[in-house]
Amino acid sequence: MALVCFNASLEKHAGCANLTVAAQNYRALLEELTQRLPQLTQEVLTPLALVIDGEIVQEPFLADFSADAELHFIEKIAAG
Amino acid sequence: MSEAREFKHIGQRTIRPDGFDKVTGKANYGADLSLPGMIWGAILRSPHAHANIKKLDVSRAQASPDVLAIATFEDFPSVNAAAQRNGSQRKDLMDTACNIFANQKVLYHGHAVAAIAARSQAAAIAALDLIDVEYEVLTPVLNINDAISADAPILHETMMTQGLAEPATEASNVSARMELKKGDIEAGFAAADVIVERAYDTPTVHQGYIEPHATTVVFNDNGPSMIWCPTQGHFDVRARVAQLMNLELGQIKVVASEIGGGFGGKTTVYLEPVALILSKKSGRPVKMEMSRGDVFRASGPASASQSRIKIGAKMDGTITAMQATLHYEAGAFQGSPMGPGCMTVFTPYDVENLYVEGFDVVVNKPKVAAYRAPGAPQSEFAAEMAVNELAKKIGMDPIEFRLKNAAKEGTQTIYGPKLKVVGLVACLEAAKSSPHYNAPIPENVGRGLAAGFWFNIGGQSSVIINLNPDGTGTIIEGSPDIGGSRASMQMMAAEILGVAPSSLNPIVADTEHVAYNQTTGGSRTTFATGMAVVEAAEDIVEQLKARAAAMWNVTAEQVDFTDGVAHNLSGEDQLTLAEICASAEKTGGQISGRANINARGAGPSFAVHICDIKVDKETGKTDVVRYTAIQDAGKAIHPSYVEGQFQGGAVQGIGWALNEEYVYSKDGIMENAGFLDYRIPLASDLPEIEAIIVEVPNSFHPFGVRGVGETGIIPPLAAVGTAVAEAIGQPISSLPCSPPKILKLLMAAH
Amino acid sequence: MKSHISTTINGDSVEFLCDPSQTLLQVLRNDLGMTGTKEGCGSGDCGACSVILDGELVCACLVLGVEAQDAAIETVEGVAAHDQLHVIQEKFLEHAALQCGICTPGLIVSTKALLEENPSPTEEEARYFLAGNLCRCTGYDKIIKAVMDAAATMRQGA
Ligand code: FES
Ligand code: FES
Repeated sequence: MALVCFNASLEKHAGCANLTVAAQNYRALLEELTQRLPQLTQEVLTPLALVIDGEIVQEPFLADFSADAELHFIEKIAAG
Repeated sequence: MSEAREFKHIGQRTIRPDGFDKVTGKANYGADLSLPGMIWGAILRSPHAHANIKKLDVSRAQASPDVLAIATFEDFPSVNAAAQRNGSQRKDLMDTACNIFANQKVLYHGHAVAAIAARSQAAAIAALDLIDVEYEVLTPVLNINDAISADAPILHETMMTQGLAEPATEASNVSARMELKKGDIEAGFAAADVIVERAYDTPTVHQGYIEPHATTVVFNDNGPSMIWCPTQGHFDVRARVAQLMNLELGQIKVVASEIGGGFGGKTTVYLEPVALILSKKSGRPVKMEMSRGDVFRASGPASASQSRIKIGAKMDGTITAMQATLHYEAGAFQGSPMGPGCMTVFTPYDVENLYVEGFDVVVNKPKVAAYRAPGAPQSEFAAEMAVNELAKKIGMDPIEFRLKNAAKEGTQTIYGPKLKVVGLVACLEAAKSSPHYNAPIPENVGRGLAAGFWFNIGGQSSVIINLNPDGTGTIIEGSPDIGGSRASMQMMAAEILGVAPSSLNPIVADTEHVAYNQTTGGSRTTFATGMAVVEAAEDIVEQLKARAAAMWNVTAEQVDFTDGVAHNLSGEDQLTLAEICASAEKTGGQISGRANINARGAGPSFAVHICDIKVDKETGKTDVVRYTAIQDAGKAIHPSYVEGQFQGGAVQGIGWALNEEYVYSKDGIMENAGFLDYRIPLASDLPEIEAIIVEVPNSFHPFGVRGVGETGIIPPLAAVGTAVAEAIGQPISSLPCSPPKILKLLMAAH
Repeated sequence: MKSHISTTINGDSVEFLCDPSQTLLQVLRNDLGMTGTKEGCGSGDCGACSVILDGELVCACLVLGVEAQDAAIETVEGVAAHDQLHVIQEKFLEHAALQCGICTPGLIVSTKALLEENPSPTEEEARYFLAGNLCRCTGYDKIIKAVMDAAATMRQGA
């Protein structure tokens, strides 16, 4: 099961610091999270980038990950 | 990724393909295009920092025979409709529209109110007098303290602070709060032997690109309209203008001219939509240019900031806790780089207990834009100053102190992920053995050192490589070349194809000739567009093999392609790339390769800078006497341009630390909107900038590249600040370290 | 009333009509289409518009178009002979002394003026002479190296 870790800002919505999910791709992840944590809406999550095992994926729509992945949602990095 | 790989072209110092045109004056920049029948646009700007527009009357202008078109906010009738379609970007689009033209309220000195087109630039400027505006002047909010005070005038009646523990109930000038944490901050401080706690502030500064914003536009009802402009992202200009004007993307073609510097400041639109409205109304091509004053007053500067930093460590040098409260000015509309500021502030350190809180604050100043590593210089300045002070307190060398706590592979960052392989330790070691750090510190000189971290990004890039029948070719990319990236693209393609770099001509195509490319920024171009170039070249190699196989009547698997030559593995035959191209018509037509990618795996770049500064105790004048910039490039494709990024970033940071700042009157009028009074560094202000390239490869890139463009501006602020503090024997907490401020500190000490 | 001006630019005789308030920079760029000379400020602070007027290095944005009457003007377009680059231009390319390149025309012209006046400048002299030419991209390091190398090469050639 992949582990999703929430930063302090998301923890407020999620109500927990982390949880394990059955999902193995981004779309399944969104569905699972918004179902299990109703406060964590699509609106909160979709503007964010997904970090998969330390790799920042700015557009994660098609991203897959392994069953033992560690996942984080972070703000998208702006350009300079 | 093998580190010992031998390259033929990569790592060489080739002559850039666009160089000839640039040294001879042939290269065309934003203001260099004129068209037959072209007229000129000019903008009326607010003389006030904060005011309601009681009346905006253009009737006198309308009646003048000199005036060919007028534009105001009313000409964005579709903004709301377009915004609906764009869902979550609604607010953002509305803000962009209200920044381009004030909507009932002006929010900063220089805010655009209306525009006029006339036959000459002088006539357009003169006609602005025919527009009558009545203002009801409001008290301006000019800094963070004023903005967050209980009785502050509110800039936006509908703005509620996002991210508070309890949902906000009242309008505020604070648009958002962000909180990041790791470990137990209280326990961390309890375990500390020594604690440093200080407040720091940095001023509003400008990117200071030498080329002002400019554009030439032709509206076309029966085909795509054309926008010519200097931008870091012409595809995003197209998208923005399309949204604002309610047009389809295919109805606009944006041509990226050569760009005279951007540094993040040319990532949005100011003049382009206005010129398009004027062109539509007048039926003529329209050209617009910002004056230097307009650039300062009305294009995006970088956020002013206030930071409070608290750091605790044990006597053995182990940092036990780091805490920051960061405030960023966003300018007139929300959206400062507070987020990345919070995420980067402590990333150079592997520390168990961290707590960061950030606030995005609106004030009556121009809306900020990105500036090299947006958000990071401000917060990391504060953190690095405090780290240096703490090192001194416990009697440790600043490099040793950092090495003891340095972030490395596996370090858990405060924003979430664990770091992959990074080069901070390598940079610190390089600093330790550098000639500069080992040189004695001269008399009356202070030395400072600081580190910096920036993520770097990947993102979307599209590239086409077309080969000609004689084996030469064209690399068609869509990333505006802001500092020599065309040279890198040429070298990377040449490396894969085994040809001379000069046989491949790289061009930055307009929005019609190549698919979408994300804006040049975030240090992404050599990384992501480079990756697309490599993929497109590899696509070609596969085709070359197939074509050679067809000539020899073997299968493609029986063909090897190395150094530009195909070899028949089941015979003696050889064909060069040029020979295969020459016979392409027989083997299925001409050859081109293509790649459309959304690059992942950008590798962070760390830097360490060392600075020596001499202070004249009589006048407070500072002199940078020696400077060294050390940074991890992953792999330097073209070392000269990598060094150039280090040096340019360092000098912008030096300017930020020593001289640059927006000066406002109490009414919010910017008083130094020119290069005479807003003083960027001159050749005579500086010594040589020694650049040391560290290469810790990024395993996600075919050649190991990490972006290098941004990190270099981060360390100078604290390296300079610390050097000045050492030179005068007083703590520095406020930038810039301008002579009057230093004199004051010196006097206070006596 | 516009004035009729006769002048010489890069060796060519040129005539133009100009408003009394028009700067030489505006005439060059907008009326004569010579956009090699750049505008960064329009107020004499950045040097992007550097040209040589009767042997003097000036900011074209501070000179009026009418002052060009009977003058000899040299702009960046006249520095290379056809496609044979001047040593200064070659050295700028070799040393990667430009990133965006908007300051480059002004710097090439100023460097030419410097080396005509002082063929053996010290690094410090070069830095002070070129202090009127702002560059925001490079931090000047590679520019100064290019200038010093160009000076050395030109001395050998002379
Ligand atoms: S444009 Fe003439 S000095 Fe800047
Ligand atoms: S190279 Fe960009 S300003 Fe000098």
